[in-house]
Amino acid sequence: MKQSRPGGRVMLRRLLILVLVAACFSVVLANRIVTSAATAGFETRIASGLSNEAVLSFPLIAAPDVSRGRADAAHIDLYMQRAIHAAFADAGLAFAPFSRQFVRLAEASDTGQVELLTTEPGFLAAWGVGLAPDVAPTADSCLVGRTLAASLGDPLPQWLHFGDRRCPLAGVFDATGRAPFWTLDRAVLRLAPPGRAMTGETFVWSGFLHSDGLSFGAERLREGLTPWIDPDMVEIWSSRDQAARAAEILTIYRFVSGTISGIALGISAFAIATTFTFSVSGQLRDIAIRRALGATQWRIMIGVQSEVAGLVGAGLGLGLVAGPYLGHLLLQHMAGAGVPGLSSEGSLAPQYIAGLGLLFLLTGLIAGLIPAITAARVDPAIILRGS
Amino acid sequence: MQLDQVSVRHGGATGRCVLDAVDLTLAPGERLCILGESGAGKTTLLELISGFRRPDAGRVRLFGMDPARAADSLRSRLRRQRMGFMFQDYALIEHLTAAANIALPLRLDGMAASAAHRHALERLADLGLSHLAAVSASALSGGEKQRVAFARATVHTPGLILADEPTGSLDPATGAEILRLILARDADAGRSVVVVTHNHAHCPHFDRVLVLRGGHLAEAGAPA
Ligand SMILES: Nc1ncnc2c1ncn2[C@@H]1O[C@H](COP(=O)(O)OP(=O)(O)OP(=O)(O)O)[C@@H](O)[C@H]1O
Ligand SMILES: [Mg+2]
Repeated sequence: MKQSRPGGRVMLRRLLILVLVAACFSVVLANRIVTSAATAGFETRIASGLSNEAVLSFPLIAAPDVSRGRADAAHIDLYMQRAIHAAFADAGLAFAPFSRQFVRLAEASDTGQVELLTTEPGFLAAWGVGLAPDVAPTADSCLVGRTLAASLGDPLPQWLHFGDRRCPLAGVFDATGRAPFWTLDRAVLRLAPPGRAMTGETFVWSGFLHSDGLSFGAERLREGLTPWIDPDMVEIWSSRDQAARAAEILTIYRFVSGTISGIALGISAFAIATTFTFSVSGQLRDIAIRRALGATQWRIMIGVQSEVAGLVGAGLGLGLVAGPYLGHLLLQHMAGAGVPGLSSEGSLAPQYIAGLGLLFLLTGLIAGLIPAITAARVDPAIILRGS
Repeated sequence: MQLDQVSVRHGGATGRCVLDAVDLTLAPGERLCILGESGAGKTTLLELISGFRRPDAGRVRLFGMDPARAADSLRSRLRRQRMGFMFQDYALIEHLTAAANIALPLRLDGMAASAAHRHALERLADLGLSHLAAVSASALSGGEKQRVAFARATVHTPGLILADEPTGSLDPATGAEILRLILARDADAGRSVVVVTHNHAHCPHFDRVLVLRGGHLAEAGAPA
């Protein structure tokens, strides 16, 4: 039951609680979406019984033929298909690339050996590494790094040619500072100067190596691929390990956002306790009247707690709307964030939402206990004494 | 209702004895006036009867229970089903309408909002106050407030009405009108009434008048 009409200050504080709870809930939900997106790919593969599947990663330098000459994503994939076919022709192995990571961009740029041309600047921009194209790139345009740009002359050419492909040059990005991870799905590598291979850790190619029925040990895979990929540089994982690794990469991200939302939840709880205690103290007379007319202490407590629950509930409702939106926004920015197998589809199990909502509600109600007990203890006699 | 050797001290065991071994029995339907100077302990006595306060000694019995010692749920039920309260300052919830204030005891007793509202409107109509139903309590005049408070005190047909200076804030004519309402024996004749006041003018209308002085209750007219 509504105890009284709250004053302006109380309303403002309640609004703050509403926003806090909503923000907190949505961040945790968004978090969950990102995490599930990172592991979902692996989980479904594991669940569908692809136990013979290996995850294979290697830096491009391990594949000497790729690292010289033109190397774009499709090119490297094709190279892998061919290598695997040649090594295990009769085994029915299939290679499905899922991650083309671009690591240590800055280092590579400094050596002048590797340049990245990409049509997807979103992630770099999001990580604030100073990508500032003059022209917004389109799907088939490309960007060049500043080292390459310097070698292309001033003014920059309008077009870059890669074999028979002609890309409008959208701009130059300046990848100084800590380089982000970057997928090369639609990126193009520049031609490396003859005789100079790409630096070691610049590109890591990963993919599922799947066979129908046959089981290969890691050693046998390594050996078989030796002519194409330096066996010392190949990492071979099971899908399960890879899922764990993907989750691990996200641990820090989850820890940080978890801590922030934990703190926000704590602040919400504190705000609930103080705001409602404040509003109870402004309603002593009304509460005393109700008590005198026969409201039980329990009923008074429920009155306060239902207001708390209403407020938290409204916050949860807002969070439920904002959370998935935020999660997908994050996913867009993280596409290729060095998280192997990050799919663009994250999901939220209803049980998870319900459980989390319950946790929030309980926290609110525990915080609400202080004002609720204060209200229940109001002495009805105060209306007789007019104090 | 019965008070049995009830004593109240303010300020601990060594404090002043406000009520000293008071005995009081109220017959069903009886209308009792308790007179007393300011500070005599009239309000304290009402607190005892309503279960707001525990006596330091003695026993209170009300509708077969000891309100001060009963569980909160029982004591609360007693208040919302069997007792009606009126106060000098009306004790209306200011931001609620007159009708909502009157419906409050019924709502607290679990009646649905619409039914409680209907009862409240009927009660207002009985008193000729239908025009006040939707008016916020804060906008009512003192006399109107006390009429609404009376409607609230009687909407659930309680067996006992307790009133602390119900006319204290009203002009004599309005006060007399309120008192007439409280003492009227119309629909619910079985209703007992206890009014505490320092206003001797009200005395003639009651079945019995007691004077509270020096912690003792005496029949009116007995030597001081
Ligand atoms: N909680 C308390 N602590 C100490 N003294 C109290 C307390 N409550 C009441 N008293 C004292 O007890 C005495 C009786 O108070 P009470 O309010 O019952 O008097 P009253 O007859 O209702 O007076 P009035 O006509 O002015 O309302 C007063 O002297 C008052 O100061
Ligand atoms: Mg008094």
